Amino acid sequence: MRSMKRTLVDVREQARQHPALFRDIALVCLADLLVAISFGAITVSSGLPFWLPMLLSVVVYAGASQFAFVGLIASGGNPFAALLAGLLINLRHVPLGFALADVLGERWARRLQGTYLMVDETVAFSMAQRDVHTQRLAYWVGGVCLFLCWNLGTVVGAVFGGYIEDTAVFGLDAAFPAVLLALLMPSLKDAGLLRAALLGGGVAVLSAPFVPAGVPVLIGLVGVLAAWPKSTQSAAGEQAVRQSA
Amino acid sequence: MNAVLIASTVCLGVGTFGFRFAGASLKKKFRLSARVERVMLVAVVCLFAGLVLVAVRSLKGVALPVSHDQRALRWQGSSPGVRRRSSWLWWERLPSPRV
Repeated sequence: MRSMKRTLVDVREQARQHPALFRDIALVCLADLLVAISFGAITVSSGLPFWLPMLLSVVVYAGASQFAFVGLIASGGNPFAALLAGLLINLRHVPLGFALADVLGERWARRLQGTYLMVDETVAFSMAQRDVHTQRLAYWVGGVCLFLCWNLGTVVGAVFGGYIEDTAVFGLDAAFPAVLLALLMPSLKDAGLLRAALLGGGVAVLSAPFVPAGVPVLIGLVGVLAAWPKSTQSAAGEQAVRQSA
Repeated sequence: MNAVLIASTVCLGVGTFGFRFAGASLKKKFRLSARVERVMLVAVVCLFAGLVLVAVRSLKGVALPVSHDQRALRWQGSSPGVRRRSSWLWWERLPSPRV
Protein backbone atom coordinates (compact mmCIF):
# COMPACT_ATOMS: atom_id res chain seq x y z
CA MET A 1 0.00 0.00 0.00
CA ARG A 2 2.79 2.33 1.00
CA SER A 3 4.73 1.49 -2.15
CA MET A 4 1.66 2.19 -4.28
CA LYS A 5 1.24 5.56 -2.58
CA ARG A 6 4.88 6.33 -3.27
CA THR A 7 4.47 5.32 -6.92
CA LEU A 8 1.48 7.66 -7.28
CA VAL A 9 3.46 10.51 -5.73
CA ASP A 10 6.34 9.77 -8.13
CA VAL A 11 4.00 9.76 -11.12
CA ARG A 12 2.51 13.09 -10.00
CA GLU A 13 6.01 14.54 -9.68
CA GLN A 14 6.94 13.26 -13.16
CA ALA A 15 3.72 14.73 -14.57
CA ARG A 16 4.86 18.15 -13.32
CA GLN A 17 8.23 17.69 -15.00
CA HIS A 18 6.88 16.36 -18.32
CA PRO A 19 3.50 18.03 -18.87
CA ALA A 20 3.52 17.65 -22.68
CA LEU A 21 4.19 13.91 -22.47
CA PHE A 22 1.37 13.34 -19.97
CA ARG A 23 -1.01 15.50 -22.01
CA ASP A 24 -0.28 13.44 -25.14
CA ILE A 25 -0.75 10.19 -23.22
CA ALA A 26 -4.10 11.44 -21.86
CA LEU A 27 -5.28 12.39 -25.34
CA VAL A 28 -4.39 9.03 -26.85
CA CYS A 29 -5.97 7.24 -23.86
CA LEU A 30 -9.21 9.11 -24.50
CA ALA A 31 -9.12 8.25 -28.20
CA ASP A 32 -8.38 4.58 -27.44
CA LEU A 33 -11.17 4.49 -24.86
CA LEU A 34 -13.66 5.47 -27.56
CA VAL A 35 -12.22 2.98 -30.04
CA ALA A 36 -12.49 0.26 -27.38
CA ILE A 37 -16.12 1.20 -26.74
CA SER A 38 -16.74 0.77 -30.48
CA PHE A 39 -14.97 -2.56 -30.38
CA GLY A 40 -17.08 -3.88 -27.51
CA ALA A 41 -20.29 -2.57 -29.05
CA ILE A 42 -19.55 -3.95 -32.53
CA THR A 43 -18.62 -7.37 -31.19
CA VAL A 44 -21.72 -7.80 -29.05
CA SER A 45 -24.06 -6.34 -31.66
CA SER A 46 -22.65 -8.79 -34.23
CA GLY A 47 -24.15 -11.61 -32.20
CA LEU A 48 -20.89 -12.85 -30.73
CA PRO A 49 -20.70 -13.88 -27.06
CA PHE A 50 -20.70 -11.12 -24.45
CA TRP A 51 -17.40 -12.28 -22.95
CA LEU A 52 -15.44 -12.44 -26.23
CA PRO A 53 -14.43 -8.74 -26.54
CA MET A 54 -13.29 -8.67 -22.92
CA LEU A 55 -11.31 -11.90 -23.28
CA LEU A 56 -9.68 -10.57 -26.46
CA SER A 57 -8.81 -7.25 -24.84
CA VAL A 58 -7.15 -8.94 -21.87
CA VAL A 59 -5.43 -11.85 -23.63
CA VAL A 60 -4.47 -10.30 -26.97
CA TYR A 61 -4.47 -6.53 -26.28
CA ALA A 62 -3.78 -5.44 -29.86
CA GLY A 63 -6.58 -3.36 -31.37
CA ALA A 64 -6.16 -3.95 -35.11
CA SER A 65 -5.96 -7.73 -34.79
CA GLN A 66 -8.93 -7.78 -32.39
CA PHE A 67 -11.08 -5.92 -34.92
CA ALA A 68 -9.92 -8.25 -37.71
CA PHE A 69 -10.56 -11.36 -35.59
CA VAL A 70 -14.07 -10.30 -34.62
CA GLY A 71 -14.87 -9.04 -38.12
CA LEU A 72 -13.93 -12.33 -39.75
CA ILE A 73 -15.86 -14.46 -37.26
CA ALA A 74 -18.91 -12.16 -37.37
CA SER A 75 -19.01 -12.45 -41.15
CA GLY A 76 -19.19 -16.23 -40.86
CA GLY A 77 -15.48 -16.92 -41.25
CA ASN A 78 -13.57 -19.79 -39.71
CA PRO A 79 -11.98 -18.99 -36.28
CA PHE A 80 -8.70 -20.47 -37.54
CA ALA A 81 -8.69 -18.08 -40.50
CA ALA A 82 -9.40 -15.26 -38.05
CA LEU A 83 -6.52 -16.47 -35.89
CA LEU A 84 -4.13 -16.48 -38.86
CA ALA A 85 -5.26 -13.00 -39.94
CA GLY A 86 -4.72 -11.71 -36.40
CA LEU A 87 -1.27 -13.24 -36.20
CA LEU A 88 -0.33 -11.79 -39.59
CA ILE A 89 -1.36 -8.32 -38.45
CA ASN A 90 0.55 -8.68 -35.19
CA LEU A 91 3.77 -9.69 -36.94
CA ARG A 92 4.69 -6.01 -36.80
CA HIS A 93 5.36 -6.43 -33.07
CA VAL A 94 8.68 -8.12 -33.86
CA PRO A 95 10.41 -4.90 -35.04
CA LEU A 96 8.54 -2.92 -32.38
CA GLY A 97 9.88 -5.24 -29.66
CA PHE A 98 13.34 -4.95 -31.17
CA ALA A 99 13.19 -1.15 -30.91
CA LEU A 100 12.16 -1.36 -27.26
CA ALA A 101 14.64 -3.94 -25.98
CA ASP A 102 16.74 -1.40 -24.05
CA VAL A 103 13.71 0.31 -22.54
CA LEU A 104 12.35 -2.93 -21.06
CA GLY A 105 15.52 -3.50 -19.04
CA GLU A 106 17.34 -6.65 -17.97
CA ARG A 107 15.11 -8.21 -15.30
CA TRP A 108 12.92 -11.06 -16.56
CA ALA A 109 9.79 -10.10 -14.63
CA ARG A 110 10.01 -6.52 -15.84
CA ARG A 111 10.59 -7.65 -19.43
CA LEU A 112 7.60 -10.00 -19.37
CA GLN A 113 5.30 -7.31 -17.96
CA GLY A 114 6.65 -4.73 -20.39
CA THR A 115 6.25 -7.04 -23.36
CA TYR A 116 2.59 -7.53 -22.48
CA LEU A 117 1.94 -3.76 -22.59
CA MET A 118 3.66 -3.27 -25.97
CA VAL A 119 1.38 -1.58 -28.48
CA ASP A 120 2.02 0.93 -31.27
CA GLU A 121 1.25 3.95 -29.12
CA THR A 122 3.53 3.01 -26.22
CA VAL A 123 6.42 2.28 -28.59
CA ALA A 124 5.89 5.63 -30.34
CA PHE A 125 5.76 7.49 -27.01
CA SER A 126 8.91 5.78 -25.84
CA MET A 127 10.89 6.26 -29.04
CA ALA A 128 10.12 9.98 -29.14
CA GLN A 129 11.97 10.59 -25.84
CA ARG A 130 15.63 11.48 -25.65
CA ASP A 131 17.07 9.60 -22.64
CA VAL A 132 16.39 6.07 -21.40
CA HIS A 133 14.85 7.28 -18.12
CA THR A 134 12.19 9.34 -19.91
CA GLN A 135 11.69 6.55 -22.44
CA ARG A 136 10.93 4.13 -19.59
CA LEU A 137 8.63 6.64 -17.92
CA ALA A 138 6.70 7.23 -21.18
CA TYR A 139 6.49 3.50 -21.85
CA TRP A 140 5.22 2.44 -18.43
CA VAL A 141 2.85 5.32 -17.79
CA GLY A 142 1.49 5.13 -21.34
CA GLY A 143 1.32 1.34 -21.25
CA VAL A 144 -0.58 1.05 -17.97
CA CYS A 145 -2.98 3.92 -18.77
CA LEU A 146 -3.71 2.59 -22.27
CA PHE A 147 -4.26 -0.93 -20.97
CA LEU A 148 -6.75 0.30 -18.38
CA CYS A 149 -8.57 2.57 -20.87
CA TRP A 150 -8.73 -0.14 -23.53
CA ASN A 151 -10.21 -2.73 -21.19
CA LEU A 152 -12.57 -0.26 -19.52
CA GLY A 153 -13.78 0.87 -22.94
CA THR A 154 -14.32 -2.72 -24.04
CA VAL A 155 -16.45 -3.46 -20.97
CA VAL A 156 -18.49 -0.27 -21.47
CA GLY A 157 -18.98 -1.07 -25.15
CA ALA A 158 -20.03 -4.64 -24.45
CA VAL A 159 -22.48 -3.63 -21.71
CA PHE A 160 -23.94 -0.49 -23.29
CA GLY A 161 -23.33 -1.48 -26.93
CA GLY A 162 -27.00 -1.16 -27.79
CA TYR A 163 -27.11 2.52 -26.83
CA ILE A 164 -23.98 3.62 -28.69
CA GLU A 165 -24.34 4.10 -32.41
CA ASP A 166 -21.05 5.55 -33.57
CA THR A 167 -18.27 6.83 -31.32
CA ALA A 168 -16.50 8.35 -34.35
CA VAL A 169 -18.87 11.33 -34.26
CA PHE A 170 -16.90 12.69 -31.29
CA GLY A 171 -14.05 13.30 -33.72
CA LEU A 172 -11.43 11.89 -31.39
CA ASP A 173 -10.41 9.38 -34.03
CA ALA A 174 -8.17 12.15 -35.36
CA ALA A 175 -6.19 12.19 -32.10
CA PHE A 176 -4.48 8.87 -32.73
CA PRO A 177 -2.81 9.72 -36.09
CA ALA A 178 -2.14 13.31 -34.98
CA VAL A 179 -0.23 12.28 -31.85
CA LEU A 180 1.53 9.42 -33.64
CA LEU A 181 2.67 11.82 -36.39
CA ALA A 182 3.94 14.30 -33.80
CA LEU A 183 5.92 11.49 -32.15
CA LEU A 184 7.27 10.34 -35.50
CA MET A 185 8.43 13.80 -36.64
CA PRO A 186 11.86 13.84 -34.89
CA SER A 187 12.81 10.61 -36.71
CA LEU A 188 11.89 12.12 -40.07
CA LYS A 189 14.78 14.62 -39.94
CA ASP A 190 16.96 11.78 -41.24
CA ALA A 191 16.63 11.84 -45.06
CA GLY A 192 16.78 8.04 -45.35
CA LEU A 193 14.07 7.53 -42.74
CA LEU A 194 11.91 10.20 -44.39
CA ARG A 195 12.22 8.46 -47.78
CA ALA A 196 11.33 5.14 -46.20
CA ALA A 197 8.36 6.62 -44.31
CA LEU A 198 6.99 8.27 -47.45
CA LEU A 199 7.35 5.12 -49.54
CA GLY A 200 5.99 2.83 -46.80
CA GLY A 201 3.09 5.13 -45.95
CA GLY A 202 2.22 5.65 -49.62
CA VAL A 203 2.21 1.93 -50.38
CA ALA A 204 0.14 1.23 -47.24
CA VAL A 205 -2.50 3.79 -48.23
CA LEU A 206 -2.63 2.61 -51.85
CA SER A 207 -3.04 -1.02 -50.81
CA ALA A 208 -5.70 -0.25 -48.17
CA PRO A 209 -8.78 -0.61 -50.42
CA PHE A 210 -7.67 -4.03 -51.68
CA VAL A 211 -6.54 -5.95 -48.58
CA PRO A 212 -8.09 -6.67 -45.16
CA ALA A 213 -7.68 -4.13 -42.35
CA GLY A 214 -4.31 -4.26 -40.64
CA VAL A 215 -2.46 -5.79 -43.59
CA PRO A 216 -1.73 -2.44 -45.36
CA VAL A 217 0.53 -1.43 -42.48
CA LEU A 218 2.55 -4.62 -42.97
CA ILE A 219 2.71 -4.03 -46.73
CA GLY A 220 4.10 -0.58 -45.88
CA LEU A 221 7.27 -2.34 -44.73
CA VAL A 222 8.43 -2.21 -48.36
CA GLY A 223 9.43 1.34 -47.42
CA VAL A 224 12.54 -0.25 -45.88
CA LEU A 225 13.81 -0.62 -49.45
CA ALA A 226 13.96 3.18 -49.81
CA ALA A 227 16.52 3.41 -47.02
CA TRP A 228 18.36 0.18 -47.87
CA PRO A 229 21.31 1.57 -49.89
CA LYS A 230 21.79 4.31 -47.28
CA SER A 231 21.75 1.75 -44.47
CA THR A 232 24.29 -0.39 -46.28
CA GLN A 233 26.58 2.61 -46.76
CA SER A 234 26.22 3.74 -43.15
CA ALA A 235 26.83 0.22 -41.86
CA ALA A 236 29.92 -0.09 -44.03
CA GLY A 237 31.04 3.32 -42.79
CA GLU A 238 30.52 2.38 -39.17
CA GLN A 239 32.42 -0.88 -39.68
CA ALA A 240 35.31 1.01 -41.30
CA VAL A 241 35.40 3.44 -38.37
CA ARG A 242 35.44 0.51 -35.91
CA GLN A 243 38.28 -1.21 -37.82
CA SER A 244 40.35 1.96 -38.01
CA ALA A 245 39.83 2.53 -34.26
CA MET B 1 -18.23 -23.15 -30.84
CA ASN B 2 -17.36 -21.37 -27.58
CA ALA B 3 -14.44 -23.72 -26.97
CA VAL B 4 -13.07 -23.03 -30.47
CA LEU B 5 -13.44 -19.29 -29.91
CA ILE B 6 -11.64 -19.47 -26.57
CA ALA B 7 -8.87 -21.64 -28.03
CA SER B 8 -8.31 -19.35 -31.02
CA THR B 9 -8.35 -16.26 -28.77
CA VAL B 10 -5.77 -17.79 -26.46
CA CYS B 11 -3.62 -18.86 -29.45
CA LEU B 12 -3.81 -15.31 -30.84
CA GLY B 13 -2.81 -13.92 -27.46
CA VAL B 14 0.10 -16.33 -27.08
CA GLY B 15 1.27 -15.70 -30.66
CA THR B 16 1.09 -11.93 -30.21
CA PHE B 17 3.01 -12.12 -26.96
CA GLY B 18 5.55 -14.35 -28.71
CA PHE B 19 6.10 -11.78 -31.46
CA ARG B 20 6.53 -8.99 -28.92
CA PHE B 21 8.91 -11.02 -26.79
CA ALA B 22 10.87 -12.33 -29.79
CA GLY B 23 11.60 -8.80 -30.96
CA ALA B 24 12.77 -7.70 -27.53
CA SER B 25 14.81 -10.87 -26.94
CA LEU B 26 16.42 -10.83 -30.38
CA LYS B 27 18.39 -7.73 -29.51
CA LYS B 28 19.34 -8.99 -26.05
CA LYS B 29 20.40 -12.49 -27.06
CA PHE B 30 22.26 -11.83 -30.26
CA ARG B 31 24.74 -9.18 -31.19
CA LEU B 32 23.32 -7.84 -34.43
CA SER B 33 25.20 -5.84 -37.00
CA ALA B 34 24.69 -2.10 -37.33
CA ARG B 35 23.00 -2.71 -40.68
CA VAL B 36 20.34 -5.00 -39.19
CA GLU B 37 19.69 -2.53 -36.35
CA ARG B 38 19.30 0.26 -38.88
CA VAL B 39 16.89 -1.84 -40.98
CA MET B 40 14.81 -2.58 -37.87
CA LEU B 41 14.66 1.14 -37.04
CA VAL B 42 13.58 1.92 -40.61
CA ALA B 43 10.95 -0.84 -40.37
CA VAL B 44 9.49 0.72 -37.22
CA VAL B 45 9.35 4.16 -38.87
CA CYS B 46 7.66 2.61 -41.94
CA LEU B 47 5.09 0.87 -39.73
CA PHE B 48 4.25 4.12 -37.94
CA ALA B 49 4.05 6.07 -41.21
CA GLY B 50 1.70 3.41 -42.58
CA LEU B 51 -0.40 3.51 -39.40
CA VAL B 52 -0.69 7.31 -39.52
CA LEU B 53 -1.65 7.47 -43.20
CA VAL B 54 -4.05 4.53 -43.10
CA ALA B 55 -5.69 6.00 -39.96
CA VAL B 56 -6.01 9.40 -41.65
CA ARG B 57 -7.56 7.76 -44.70
CA SER B 58 -10.33 6.21 -42.60
CA LEU B 59 -11.07 9.24 -40.42
CA LYS B 60 -14.67 9.96 -39.50
CA GLY B 61 -16.21 12.46 -37.09
CA VAL B 62 -15.21 16.12 -37.13
CA ALA B 63 -12.08 15.37 -39.08
CA LEU B 64 -14.09 13.97 -41.97
CA PRO B 65 -13.86 16.31 -44.94
CA VAL B 66 -17.39 17.52 -45.63
CA SER B 67 -18.77 18.74 -48.91
CA HIS B 68 -19.44 22.41 -49.48
CA ASP B 69 -23.19 21.83 -49.26
CA GLN B 70 -22.88 20.04 -45.91
CA ARG B 71 -20.64 22.82 -44.62
CA ALA B 72 -23.15 25.44 -45.73
CA LEU B 73 -25.89 23.54 -43.90
CA ARG B 74 -23.72 23.33 -40.81
CA TRP B 75 -23.12 27.09 -40.79
CA GLN B 76 -26.68 28.12 -41.58
CA GLY B 77 -28.37 25.60 -39.32
CA SER B 78 -30.34 22.78 -40.85
CA SER B 79 -33.70 23.79 -39.43
CA PRO B 80 -35.68 27.04 -39.74
CA GLY B 81 -35.24 29.42 -36.88
CA VAL B 82 -31.60 28.55 -36.30
CA ARG B 83 -29.54 31.71 -36.34
CA ARG B 84 -26.97 31.89 -39.10
CA ARG B 85 -23.41 31.88 -37.83
CA SER B 86 -20.83 33.64 -39.95
CA SER B 87 -17.74 31.75 -40.97
CA TRP B 88 -14.27 32.98 -40.12
CA LEU B 89 -13.22 32.13 -43.66
CA TRP B 90 -13.56 35.29 -45.74
CA TRP B 91 -14.46 33.45 -48.95
CA GLU B 92 -17.37 31.78 -47.22
CA ARG B 93 -18.77 35.18 -46.25
CA LEU B 94 -18.91 36.31 -49.88
CA PRO B 95 -22.42 36.44 -51.36
CA SER B 96 -23.20 33.38 -53.43
CA PRO B 97 -23.49 34.05 -57.16
CA ARG B 98 -27.05 34.32 -58.46
CA VAL B 99 -27.94 31.91 -61.21
